Amino acid sequence: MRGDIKLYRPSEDQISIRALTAISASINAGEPTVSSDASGSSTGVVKEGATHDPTTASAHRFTGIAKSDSSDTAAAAGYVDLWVPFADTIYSASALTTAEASTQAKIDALKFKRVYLDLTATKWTVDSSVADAVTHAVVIIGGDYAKSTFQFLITPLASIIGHYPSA
Amino acid sequence: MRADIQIYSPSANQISMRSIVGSGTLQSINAGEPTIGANASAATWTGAVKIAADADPTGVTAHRFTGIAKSDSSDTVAAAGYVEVWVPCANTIYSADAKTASLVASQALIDAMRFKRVVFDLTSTKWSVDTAASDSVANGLVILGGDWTKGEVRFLIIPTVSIIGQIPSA
Repeated sequence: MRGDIKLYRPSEDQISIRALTAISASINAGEPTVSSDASGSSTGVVKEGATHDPTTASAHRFTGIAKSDSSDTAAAAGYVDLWVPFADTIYSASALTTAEASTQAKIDALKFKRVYLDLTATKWTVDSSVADAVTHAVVIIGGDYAKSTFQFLITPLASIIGHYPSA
Repeated sequence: MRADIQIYSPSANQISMRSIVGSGTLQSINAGEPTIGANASAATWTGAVKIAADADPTGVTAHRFTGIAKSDSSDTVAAAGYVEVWVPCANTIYSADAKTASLVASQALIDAMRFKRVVFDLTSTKWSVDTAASDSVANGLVILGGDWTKGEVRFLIIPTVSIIGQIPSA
């Protein structure tokens, strides 16, 4: 959903790039994107991520949070502007379960946990209840319990910046 | 060749460092050429760098990418020297000519290779980006864009092939 994931603190080097989208990709600003290509192919096309992205176990590299709505239609391919996923970009999004981010103590206890994003219906959130795993690319580094939001990094090992696939 | 590879957008934290270059050749590295560690993993450490080879940088070599030369090296046939190299910060964006200009001759061609992982080409003394290389997880250059009017591509060099965060690929 538009605005679900925000840049809480952009990198000092933050830039955006324009990438191709397929027919009916329908990406909204604030949604995560991944490369449509698996390893070994290259079309330059991106698509919306899936629930439980991003991970290093996927051949579809994380390509950044959409800065704009995509311009594709039901009849034609289009473009979307993406925030390049630099390693020092800090993001924020709501917790999947607000009760898990409802106090500072709870947020403190989740710090540095590796989790992933959740997509339920059209809403993107941080699934903080998933077990910590090396393949999970969302690293919680803080939050705001008054808003039940998390602040997090996305490890380069899952993205175009430094992809390294896990077994 | 001098200035073949340029820093298109430096990291806000961009710095350079002076590194040793071994003897044996007069000025073996020119500014704008890629460098790699002279030492392989676990080798006797010297801290020296050398000019990269065709089809570098990759995650399958034990010689880590050490940055683009900022200066010409001062080595000679008889004596070791130094070279200034740009530390390969993860956010640094580079530019260089495509090996085959016709492959980047339109915006549509550049769009279609965005995020592709490729390598440098060295033909004679000219460094360029081999955009025709097959996408592979081991390749260290990630194409982000380009300027089709100049036959030029812009790219990142992933930390997993460099001194910043190398993880050797299988």
